[in-house]
Amino acid sequence: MSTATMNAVPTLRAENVSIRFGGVQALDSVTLEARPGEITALIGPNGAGKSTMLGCISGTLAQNQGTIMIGDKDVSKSSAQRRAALNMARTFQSPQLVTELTVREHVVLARRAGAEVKSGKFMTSVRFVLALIPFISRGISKAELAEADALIDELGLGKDRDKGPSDLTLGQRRLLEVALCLATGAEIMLFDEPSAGLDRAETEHLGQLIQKLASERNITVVLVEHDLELVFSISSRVFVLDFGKLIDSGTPAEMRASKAVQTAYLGTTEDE
Amino acid sequence: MLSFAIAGLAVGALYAMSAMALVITYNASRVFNFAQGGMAFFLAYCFYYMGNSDTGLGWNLWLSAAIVVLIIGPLLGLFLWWMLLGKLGNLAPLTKVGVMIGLQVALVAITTLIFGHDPVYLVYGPVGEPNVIFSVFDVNVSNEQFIIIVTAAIVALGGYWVLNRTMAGLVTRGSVDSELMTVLTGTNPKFVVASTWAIGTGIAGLAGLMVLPKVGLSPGGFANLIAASMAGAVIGKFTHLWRAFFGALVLGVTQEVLVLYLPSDGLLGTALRPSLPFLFMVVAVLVYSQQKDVKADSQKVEVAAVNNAYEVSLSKYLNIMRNPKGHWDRYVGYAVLVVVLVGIPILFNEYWTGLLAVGFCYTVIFLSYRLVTGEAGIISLSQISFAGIGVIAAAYVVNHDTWFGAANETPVLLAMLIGGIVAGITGTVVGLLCLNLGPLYAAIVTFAFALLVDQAVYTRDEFSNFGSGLPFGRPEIFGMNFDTPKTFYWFGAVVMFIVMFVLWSLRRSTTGLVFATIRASRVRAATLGFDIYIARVGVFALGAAVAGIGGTMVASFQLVAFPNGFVMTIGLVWFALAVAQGTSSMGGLAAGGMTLLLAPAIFSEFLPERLADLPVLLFGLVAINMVVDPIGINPNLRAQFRHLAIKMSGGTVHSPSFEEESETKLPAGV
Repeated sequence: MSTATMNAVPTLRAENVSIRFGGVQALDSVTLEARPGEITALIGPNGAGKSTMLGCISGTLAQNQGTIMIGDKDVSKSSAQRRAALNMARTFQSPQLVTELTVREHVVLARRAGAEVKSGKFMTSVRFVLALIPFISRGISKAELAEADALIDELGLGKDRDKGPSDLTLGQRRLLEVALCLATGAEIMLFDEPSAGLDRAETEHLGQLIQKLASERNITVVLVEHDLELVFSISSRVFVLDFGKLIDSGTPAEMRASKAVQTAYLGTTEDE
Repeated sequence: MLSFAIAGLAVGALYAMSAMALVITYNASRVFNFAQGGMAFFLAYCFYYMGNSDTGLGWNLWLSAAIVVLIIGPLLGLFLWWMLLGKLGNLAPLTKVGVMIGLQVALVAITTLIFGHDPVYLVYGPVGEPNVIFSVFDVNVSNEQFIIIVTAAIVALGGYWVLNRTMAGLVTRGSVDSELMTVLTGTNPKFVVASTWAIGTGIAGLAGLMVLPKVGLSPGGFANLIAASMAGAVIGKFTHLWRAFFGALVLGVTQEVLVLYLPSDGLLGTALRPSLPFLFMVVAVLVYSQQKDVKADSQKVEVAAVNNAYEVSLSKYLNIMRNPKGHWDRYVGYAVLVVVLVGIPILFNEYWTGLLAVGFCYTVIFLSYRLVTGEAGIISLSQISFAGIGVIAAAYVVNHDTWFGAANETPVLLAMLIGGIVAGITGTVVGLLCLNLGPLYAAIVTFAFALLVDQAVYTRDEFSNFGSGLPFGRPEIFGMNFDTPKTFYWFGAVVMFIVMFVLWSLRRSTTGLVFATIRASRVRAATLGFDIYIARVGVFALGAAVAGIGGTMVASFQLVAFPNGFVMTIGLVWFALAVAQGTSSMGGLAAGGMTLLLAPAIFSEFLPERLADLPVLLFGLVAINMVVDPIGINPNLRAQFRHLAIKMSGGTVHSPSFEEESETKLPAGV
């Protein structure tokens, strides 16, 4: 890890985040820090609370305790919309796509969303009114299509650009989710198991893409992933959750060697 | 005071029983019974037929009531469950509501087809002629009031005992949370659901019989009972039996006791009591919208079933429409449209041309469903009220001295726009109140709002002109005043196409893409930064404005603003027709608007008057058909034409694949 990155101002910080679903303590005082230009991975066995943590960070779940900071802004009580306006985007473990839109239209929408949420509510209202006026309302231009196509090609969805989500495989749908995230131009991106359903070559390509994104555009990436090979090959820091608690954190090399991590994934023997 | 409280207790007891039936059936099946009024109406007519000695069988009233409540009601519930209701559990909210409204419309039409469509106002309940049987603190209590209160108490206590003290109750409560657990107890969950529909229909029938002496036998008469019981259900969050029961009871008591404190006339005197169900619902919705658990739960329950028949149907349709071949078929459609449009005024006489001209006006109103339901996914049952409010506002401006001009001097075209704006403002207020929670809450609150407008607005003499309607004229544009059916035909067609063009533009704009996202996944829309609530309120208001303008066009053709043409019971027929045709399809909505006018005209031309309600029955049945055809008739026809065009162009169509995903869609916290 370079000194420059180590000293970077934290862009995203979740502190002592706790959330309870009925009798289940899904997250128990979890603290996590993700820095610009780095990929911060969140790993753990099934049911550890990884996706719940992403939900709390992105605002789709409301934590019972704890604070979420984006830079110096406390967004703990902000809506998902407000966080999106602060340059945060995310993917979902179960793809949240629109049956009525093609791959291209999804990407165009996400590009426009990225541009417009930053322009504020007033401009959104103006857009709403303009949309009612024929000829002024914006259909999808050729330039927008070309820009969307470049991103779609980069993710290997080129030959499916005119298909809807129901015509895509689960892996392709996850890639489209990643494309939506990238198209918004967000500065903080949360990826929830993006490689599930992809083959080895596709996973490696995706890993390279995320790595390039983080380093070249100085993006803050939080990656929830089951594929530990991918995690250890592209992450700068790894946080490990088990039963809603943070059991360890450190560099990929440190986490590879961590006893706590091995125990969480593999369990313990009676001798131990 | 005590006499009003006792009268209120009797009214509240009726509401409470009806609310209980709504909650019992919703709990077991996750289907909200919008057809409960129709069921009660049908059962009440059965009772009237059995007990009436002049036109019916003349049986003993108690025997007739027992047969209706204990045999016919449960059998009706079982039959409907077997045929229809048992198939609705996992369908999308719009499909469920559309089918239930279709069932309501069909049940009322079937009842009037069987028993005749003349309203009967003087009807006895099971008690017969009401008599005073005893006094409490000098307040006389009638046998009717006594029986109603005692029956409600027995139903409530019996329900409590069955649900909490018996194995059957335990299994029923268990099946609400987990069908699997019910299976593990050795009970068939379908049996539990079927039983609750049988019991629920029986209780709904019981409440219907007992309310008969108060409201008589007319489809609209049961609306109050249903609105009040819906208010109870909303207070009980659809699932809490006792909150719903006592909420409805309090509503009934409040309605009666308020008589003491209100003036006998004026706005407050006439409008407040009928408004109470709506006000109770709004307060409940506002309170619940602050509770995160309700917000999340309502969305989880109502938005969860995504990989459902609607999505499958939509995907198949889109798969065909996205095929690169066969797009030339649209030009064939445009050519046919132009020929028909030009040909009609030439080939048909003034009567039929005029009928089609009004059809264009109704199409404009129907196009508001494309905005509200087709775009924003809101289930609105009050589009007819917005049309009526537009009519009232426009007619008021034309007939009175206002800012816009002296009486009879304000241009009609300006008045029509004002009507649209007033309807839009009303829509904004209703939208702000009802769009906080899930689609079912919106459906129920808009239903109650429609009833409120019927009772508190249309009845005012300054709007209804003592029942005869305010005079209204034809618009004048560049010297043309559209005073014949043939000229008005062109006015209607042009306005309709302008509205269609605007809606087409909206769909292909960013806003259209945003609404597609909101319909598919609120959580995705939220994480892309879209303000769902404000966007939905905006499009709801716009839909109200379009409906308002459409309403003024109808009034303009008829030369009279007659608000009673825009009542809730008719609105349910409109909604059934719109969803059956497909709320996303402008062609479908145009077909709906035209059918609304043409079907009754054609039927009355060729069939006896006794069968006048046959078209309404058909409208209800096509809405029920949504069970197998959730995206609507028109999109399916469209897809079939495109399929043919693809084949003719040498292309092939493959079916989309649907993968089972283990994760549940969880639109939480949005």
